[in-house]
Amino acid sequence: MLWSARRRVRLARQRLSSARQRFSSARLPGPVAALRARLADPAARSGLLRPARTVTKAVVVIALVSVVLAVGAFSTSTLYGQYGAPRMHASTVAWIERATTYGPNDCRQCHGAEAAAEATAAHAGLICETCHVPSVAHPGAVDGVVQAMGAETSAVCATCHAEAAGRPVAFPQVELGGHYPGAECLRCHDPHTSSAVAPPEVPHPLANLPDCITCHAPGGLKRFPAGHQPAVDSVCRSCHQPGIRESIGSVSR
Amino acid sequence: MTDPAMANEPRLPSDGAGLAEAAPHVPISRRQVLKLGAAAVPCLLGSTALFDWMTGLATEPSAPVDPIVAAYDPTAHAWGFVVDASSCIGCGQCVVACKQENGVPLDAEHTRTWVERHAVAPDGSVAVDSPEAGIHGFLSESAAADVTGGIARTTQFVPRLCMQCENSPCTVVCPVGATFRTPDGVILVDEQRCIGCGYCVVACPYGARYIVPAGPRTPTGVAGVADKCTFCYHRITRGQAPACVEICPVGARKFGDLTDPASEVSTILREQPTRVLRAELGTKPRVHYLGLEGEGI
Repeated sequence: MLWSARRRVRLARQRLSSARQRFSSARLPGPVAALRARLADPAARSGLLRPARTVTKAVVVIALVSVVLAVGAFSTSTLYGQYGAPRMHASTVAWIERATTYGPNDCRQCHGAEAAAEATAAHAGLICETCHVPSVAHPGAVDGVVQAMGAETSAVCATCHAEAAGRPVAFPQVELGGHYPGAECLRCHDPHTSSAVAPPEVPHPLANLPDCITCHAPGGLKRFPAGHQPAVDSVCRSCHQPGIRESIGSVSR
Repeated sequence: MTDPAMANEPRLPSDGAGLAEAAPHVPISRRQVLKLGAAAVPCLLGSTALFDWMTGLATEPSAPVDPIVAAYDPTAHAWGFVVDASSCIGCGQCVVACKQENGVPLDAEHTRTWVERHAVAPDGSVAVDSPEAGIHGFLSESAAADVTGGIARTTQFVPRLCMQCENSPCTVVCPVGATFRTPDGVILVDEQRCIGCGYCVVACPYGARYIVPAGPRTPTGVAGVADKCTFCYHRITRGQAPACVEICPVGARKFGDLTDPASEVSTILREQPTRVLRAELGTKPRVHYLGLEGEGI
């Protein structure tokens, strides 16, 4: 048993040394040796790199490259890489191509009267859509535009002109509770000229007279507009008395 | 065409040339090299022409480029923004305009821009209130004034938006490269690539990002992705101002090209004292503030 093992070891060593000899003789089998043999043989080598076949190969390679490039060109925009990596480019283009909502601010082409009034007023320079809804819905939904404005007129004004901590002191603002509470802003103010329309001043003396409503009942006497709301005496005088404009001016600042 | 293995080989004979004895094996003669070159030149020219022709075939009739996209060169601009906090009246129309223009959800938590009211205490610290992101304006008394006990040194409105940082943390943390910076300096989000992980929302020091909630209003039609102010990229590439700038009744928001020294923003940055928010972070915002009183914001 032991002897047999020693014999196996000896045989293995012999095989190893003979394999080393074979390896060092550089007669490697396989494609590397075959190529070396061809390179060593002038005749075989001239066949390996025959010029005519080389030209053909070059043409084939160039044709393949151009086909790949052309196929790439088919699937690529001319703006490829303009904004960075390809997907970034596609995303950037998508952001650019979104539709705009506000403007172009061409309301003045039709609404010239309002524009002319606004050009000289404190609201000059504002785009119409600051107060009105975006014109993108217009003129297809003119009623929608008007309703959206009419319903919240005072609220629209108050958005900017209600007195609030933090507003610049020079900005015209009113304390809503103290400046004709309950009245629509547009009753006195023209939003386009942004100027207050003075109520007609009482042309006769007020001393020793009964309440205004005694004579100026709704529908009774002249100079009571149809849309004018019925009111008690004290409210009448808050508007219709001499010097009211100066009074409003002091309040609104 | 040359085999590197041949470089070490002895020179081989050409057709009866003088080098015959010294170099007995020539696989390719000079004449053949010239022939090869002469053949390669027309091949290359031909393939180039073929490439050009197929490129033209691919783009001209079948894929018309949007003229707006084609006319816009993003490398020719550097967009900048100036917020004049001293003139803002806090009407919130900018928030309304932004949400309408971009289809942003109408609630306060998901917004691209918002208006804050800063009550600056005598020590410079700031108490902030921003009811409904300022979308309905500030009709009530300042809640921030109560915070400071009514002893605010200054109370002012501060419009907020994405700072479009030149050194933007959001683009750095994005694990999928969905948010990126355009050459003209606007940070955009690729909604097709965004996975909605929210890293950018957390990374933004200005709170300018949000994840689009599922609902009727989605800026890109995709919910669950990050969204943010784009400076109204679709407007500025058409030569218009962002919607918030256009709508502002007092000109508190100013937008322009920093590459143009005559633009309003360039003039302001050159001639007036402006500051950026949280400058210590080194984010290099493209949004500058004028007349900002509070500190540490």
